Amino acid sequence: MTNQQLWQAILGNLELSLSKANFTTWFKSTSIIEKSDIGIVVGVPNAFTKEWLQNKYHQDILKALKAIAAEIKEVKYQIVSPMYVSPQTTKEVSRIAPAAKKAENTTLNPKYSFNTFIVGSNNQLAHAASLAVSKKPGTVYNPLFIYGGVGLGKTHLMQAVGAEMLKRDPNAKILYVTSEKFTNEFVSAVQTGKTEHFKNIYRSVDILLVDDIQFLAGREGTQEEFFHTFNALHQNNKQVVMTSDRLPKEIPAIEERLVSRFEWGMIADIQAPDLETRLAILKTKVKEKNYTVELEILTYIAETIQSNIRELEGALNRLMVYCQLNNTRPTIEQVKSILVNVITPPKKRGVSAKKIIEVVSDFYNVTPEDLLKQSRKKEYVNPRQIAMYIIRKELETSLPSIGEFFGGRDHTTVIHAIDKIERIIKERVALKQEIELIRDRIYLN
Amino acid sequence: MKVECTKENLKKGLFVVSRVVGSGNPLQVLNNILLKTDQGRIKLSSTNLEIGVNTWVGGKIEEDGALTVPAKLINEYINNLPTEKVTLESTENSTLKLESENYHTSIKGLSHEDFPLIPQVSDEPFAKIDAQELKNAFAETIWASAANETQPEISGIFMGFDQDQIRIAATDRYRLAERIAHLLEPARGTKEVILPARTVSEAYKILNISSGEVEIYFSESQVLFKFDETELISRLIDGSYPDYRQIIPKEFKTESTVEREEFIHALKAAALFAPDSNNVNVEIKPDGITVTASSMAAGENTTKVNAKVKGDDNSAIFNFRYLLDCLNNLSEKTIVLKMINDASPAAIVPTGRDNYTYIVMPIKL
Repeated sequence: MTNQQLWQAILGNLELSLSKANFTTWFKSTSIIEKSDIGIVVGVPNAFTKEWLQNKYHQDILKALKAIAAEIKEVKYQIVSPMYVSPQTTKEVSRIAPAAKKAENTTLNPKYSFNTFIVGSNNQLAHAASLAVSKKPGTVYNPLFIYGGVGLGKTHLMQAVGAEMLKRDPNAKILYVTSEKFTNEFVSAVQTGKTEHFKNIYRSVDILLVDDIQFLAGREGTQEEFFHTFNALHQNNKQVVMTSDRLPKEIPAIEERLVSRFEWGMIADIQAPDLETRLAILKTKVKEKNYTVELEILTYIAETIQSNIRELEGALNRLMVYCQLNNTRPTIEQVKSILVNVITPPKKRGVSAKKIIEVVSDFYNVTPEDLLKQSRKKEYVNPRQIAMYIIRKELETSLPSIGEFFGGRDHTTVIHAIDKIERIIKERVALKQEIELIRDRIYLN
Repeated sequence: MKVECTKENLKKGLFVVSRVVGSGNPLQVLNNILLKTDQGRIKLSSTNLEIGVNTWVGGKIEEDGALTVPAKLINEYINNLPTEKVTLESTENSTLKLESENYHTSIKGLSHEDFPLIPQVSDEPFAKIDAQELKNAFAETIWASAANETQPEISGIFMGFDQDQIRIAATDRYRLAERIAHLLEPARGTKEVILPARTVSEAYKILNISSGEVEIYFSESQVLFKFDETELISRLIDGSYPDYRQIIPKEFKTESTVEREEFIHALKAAALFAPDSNNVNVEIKPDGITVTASSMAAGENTTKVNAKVKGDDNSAIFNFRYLLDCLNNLSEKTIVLKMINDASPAAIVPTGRDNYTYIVMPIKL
């Protein structure tokens, strides 16, 4: 039996005979720090606990010990490095800290840093906020909430904050998780009864980076746990950085109290990059990987791939692989033929009106039937109009057949819907972004 | 237990012990204070398991005994009592009966059996110091410690005992206050410890109503201050304090002697125009110190303060709070502001004594 198991067994025994308040007050942060054949030394966090165990619970501890390990006759108490706020298992955390720290900090991908991040008008604000946060974590903007479409650099920025912090203070405890990972770890902690350990890990970090927070939607238990984690960190002025593909209040099925917390610090958006920025990104990539590509070609790629940086990189890589295999230098004609699939992707393949409706309804948390039926409830009308708009734009389906599809509506209804959405897009950037996101999702699978 | 004592004595005792008590601790008895008869006096004790306080007040003991009662309740009750004397009597069911002229009260308490044992230190005192001296030394340093506990070491107050001196220091990495206090007799060795800021501020409050000498004891990661009627015991912070002495510059380029009050006025005036940044510019020329601040929103201010200046012209930007913290806690009529340049630490020392140094880092824009 290890020391820890032995102590747990003794605690389990004592817990039965003591009130909960007594038990937690006097036995938290205790452990066996030394064990010989005839005696044990119990580590206690402070002199008060030592006095109390020695004078009040000594007999009880001996009795419990006798039942489990009869050969041990002697119990001594010793104060061990008192931690400041002593949560239940501070000592355990402090003991595992060096190992755990390493593991935590390696969650950062070294290729993401501020140096490799290209700033353009589309991401200026998010970049500036992240930089400020990395300089003064926990004080300037806490939490920092970065949102924007796929492949625009949210994760890059977030990890750069962590990397920069680490550069300043190599001992900083930085934890990067996707909300998926947070959920999984929480669920398994609940299953194995190690929630305390889970809490300690998450609440002892100096900076918590949570990617794709929107995936917490609909997971109530996890949301609650995240809420408490967030509060604990925020209270201690520890920085929290989150990313999402949309604004906090547009994340469906997420609790109001979380939304208000997300909006508490600073919300920065990342838009699709403009041409200059895209070109700058390509140039940096080319330099990074030591490719030789004419500017003309880079411009061509930047001009044709507009929305997504990941795609931009993908196109460049594809081109380079092709050229390396065939040992040629790319010409503009070659580029066009190589990239034909990427640039005019076979988007329309596999995309049907049905699919679009499914994605839209999923995005707005309604059912596809809701969109098709004759209801004028506000929560259905808006997604329905958006779906019409997207179908028209993406599939170029005729107006009457769109109307037909949506439960036999008139083609003028469809015209109205499209006009309306077009108008709102001009007024509200958020909607534009939503539609971009939906588009991304449609083509993602 | 049955005792009679003056309200004033009891009030003073309760004032000393009731502040360390938390409220809402799941272990009820930790929200209570212990009343106990002890060799002809009444002993009041409280603890939050980090700090423990014992204090003794005089009174007439009619029957020995002990009981614990909620700290907040009894403290507020006694504070409100307009009478002069009060009789305390413990009755069955751990209830404390308080009788005072027309006021008849029973407070529900808990058995003294459950009250934590406050650790005892039986050794010889490690050091002895005059209460007034220790109070002044604390007053000039403790506010400089880091409020944040990410680095436990600098969240506390450093005390270094050597011969007949204690070096008391506090820093938050941007500023540092050091005071050398004199002991009444040489300490029983050299020792360096870090005390939690909370402990020191409690000690300071007790010092405010104490006089005479203070004895300081150490045992297994604990410190005990013994004041005339009160004992304060606390844990120490584990770890080693940064070697701050190396950052104190040996020589300065500019030394300006200025009236403390005038300098405070100038800084406070400028402070109004540095609402967000807290940055004020301090410029030293042969004819005096000029303090300026400006903000886009509020406007700007320039104040000139007469000073006796030795050395080069100089200027630097400071957080005005860091300057005011120091100036407000000194009592001398004049102080000396010493500077090197706009990127090196500056110092404030009071004129007329050399046991105090305050170092503050300029702000780099």
